[in-house]
Amino acid sequence: MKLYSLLLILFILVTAFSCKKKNANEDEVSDFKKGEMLTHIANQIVLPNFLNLQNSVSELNTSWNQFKTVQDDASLEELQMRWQTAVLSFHKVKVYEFGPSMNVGLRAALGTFPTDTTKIITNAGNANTNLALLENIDAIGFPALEFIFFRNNAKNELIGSTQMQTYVDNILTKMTAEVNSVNAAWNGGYSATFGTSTGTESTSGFSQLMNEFCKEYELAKNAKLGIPIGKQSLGIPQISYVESPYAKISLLILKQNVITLRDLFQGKGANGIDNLGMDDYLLALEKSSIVSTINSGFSSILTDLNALNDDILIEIQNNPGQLDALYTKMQNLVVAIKTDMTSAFGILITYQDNDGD
Amino acid sequence: MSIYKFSDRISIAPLVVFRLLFGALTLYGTLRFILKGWVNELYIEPQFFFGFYGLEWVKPLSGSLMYLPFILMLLGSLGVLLGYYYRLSIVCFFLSFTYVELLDKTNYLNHYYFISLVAFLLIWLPANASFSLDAKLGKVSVRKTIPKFYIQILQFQLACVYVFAGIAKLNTDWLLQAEPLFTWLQSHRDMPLVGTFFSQKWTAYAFSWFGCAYDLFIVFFLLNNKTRPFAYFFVIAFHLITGWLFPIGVFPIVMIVLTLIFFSEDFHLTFIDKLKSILKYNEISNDSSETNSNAKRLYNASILFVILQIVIPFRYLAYPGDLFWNEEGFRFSWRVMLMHKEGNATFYIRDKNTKGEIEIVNSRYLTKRQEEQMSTQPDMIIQFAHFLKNEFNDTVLVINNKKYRIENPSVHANVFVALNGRPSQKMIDKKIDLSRKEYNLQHRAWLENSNK
Repeated sequence: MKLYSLLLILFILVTAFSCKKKNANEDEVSDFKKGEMLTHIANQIVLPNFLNLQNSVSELNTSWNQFKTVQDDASLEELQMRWQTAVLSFHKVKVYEFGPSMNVGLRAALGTFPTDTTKIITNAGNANTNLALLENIDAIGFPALEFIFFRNNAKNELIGSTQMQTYVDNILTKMTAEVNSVNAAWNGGYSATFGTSTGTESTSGFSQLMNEFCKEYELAKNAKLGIPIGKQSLGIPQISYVESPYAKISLLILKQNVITLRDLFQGKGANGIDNLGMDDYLLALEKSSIVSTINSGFSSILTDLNALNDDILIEIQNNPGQLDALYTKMQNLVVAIKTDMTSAFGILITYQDNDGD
Repeated sequence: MSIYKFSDRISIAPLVVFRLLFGALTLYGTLRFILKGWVNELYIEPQFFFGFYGLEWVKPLSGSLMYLPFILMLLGSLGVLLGYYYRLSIVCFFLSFTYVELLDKTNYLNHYYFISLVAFLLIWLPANASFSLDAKLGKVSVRKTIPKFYIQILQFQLACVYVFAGIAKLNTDWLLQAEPLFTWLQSHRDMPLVGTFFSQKWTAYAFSWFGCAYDLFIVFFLLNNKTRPFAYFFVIAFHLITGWLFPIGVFPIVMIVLTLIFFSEDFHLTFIDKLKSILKYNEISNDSSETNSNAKRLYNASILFVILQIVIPFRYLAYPGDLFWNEEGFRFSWRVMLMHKEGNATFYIRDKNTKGEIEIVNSRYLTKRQEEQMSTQPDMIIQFAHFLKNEFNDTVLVINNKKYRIENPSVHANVFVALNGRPSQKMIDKKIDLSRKEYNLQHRAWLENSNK
């Protein structure tokens, strides 16, 4: 009897409480659908950006063939420019490391750094090198091409070595095949699958997108900024771990990573139009404070990056304090993204049995 | 009300049915666990294990030897199901299962604790004294009846799960905020037909209040002959719905099936008789009841068991502060589906000589599941901090070809936790040297307070 009356009192309390809190936008809560957001992301963000990557890799191939025919400074510069365009295109899709990209291992195949220059030279000298081997992962992709196209005396090194030219051919062939296959898979039905994969299990498209979003952000923070400036090594900078030491665009790439994640968060399409994104889901859950924390975090990080040189090596020399401040900002945003946002969405990290405690 | 007599007797049928179901469930559960590759993922791959306080000496076997306790579980379950070398089988199952559960608190689940307790109880009960290979082969004498409290102790164990889970729900988050259910239910917003229903606040309130009332009172309706069929319908519906919405694996089936222990002896007798006729099984009952002194001893021991089971979930009252935040006295208390807790813990090693700092990448040492669990639970945070201290103490780091000797470093952490839909708050301040904080069962006053 005692429990019944306790329950009754609590029931009256909750009714009174929930009446008090009711407000006009209560109805909006139910409107947001994850499926609509995923479809928008697939059609307006992922598909155009993979097409863009496919095109820029194709142009990179063209300018490489052009260089092999006309081996002069102008065609090397053209080649370097195409490399830069392509690498930035890659960083616009690197976050989607699930489904087709995961099948190919695109992130590792195209973007493993630091590249092993000794291995590249050895591999080029060996006609039987198998680029598909895991041990060659740090001798292929954009970082390997960067070394070959941007190192000192790159033009003459290339002209003098047909073996190295063949090695570049092989790297490009592999990259082109991988990019084309991922692009084809997204176009050939995966985007529709992704758009309806809204479940809460860790293998759903939505969970994978959120997990990769968090992972990509932490990767950018740790590998591209934290490790080079010494966050994991007693504060002693480790310049051998810098991402782009030959083309010297490490911070430009980091900026692209941050912009990609911000646009994905806001649901900004490749055409620049803002539509359904993670921010809209948070707003539907009445978590506008998380949205403003994340938005202002991104914009403050980008302001810092805009004020810095594209080459982190220069800034490690000249402005270590500013890099440290940037790192702190990136670190602070981790909590908003990884803890506040994912916890609001109720995403599961593992697929094992759980009783929720 | 009549005074309870331990000499009251009841048919053995409910106990036999319980044995069959328990054996079948654990056999299925163990096979499922092995086939999903979890032995490897949970007990072979990790480099570090979060042992329970006072039981850290319980260590995993190396490499593939970890499959051994699981094979013992399979054999034990099979023995229990068939009633073949029953006592040996249930002891074998209990020991191997409990051993595995004690290895890493990352994998702690209330329902695993429940399985351990039930297996422990079954060790002492003559569940093989009818409709078993042991009885058929004359290894044990066949019995028709057993003391009533043999069944009641099992009913008590199930009642504990429900009632304590219900009491645990009597808190403001659950009743007044409908959290964590709102967060969990709204994530089903895209389901066809019912998605919109799940995304509404009032749905979460309805589920919270119904769930709480269900847990608190279902046992009383199950005990009553008149309300039992109606109550069991709710049991089935409740567990099927939770099983459908939440990733709770085999536990809905376990609860649906084992709750049959509340049914009458006639129900179980009919069930057994049907099985007997299908299997053309018959046995000669000589009903050699056990000695009174044995039953008396078990009766006294079960009183102690009952008292412990009632006291343990309330031990949290001995600690000040917010139970959900501090998690002091949280486990082993049937707090099921009660919190949505997510955290981010960044650890730092500080070296006194160089005045330098090393930020730790947790995934280098922990699996994803371990990191998830550790990031929100203070006792695990301390355990991991002590592990890191050991890893870095007296080591030489080579950075840019120069050697740096680390001696007696301090360990710090920035920990932020979001609990039940509230914004994340700081749980541990970076100032604190965690390597100097002892890992014990005392209140951790150095944790930051949570604000509701």
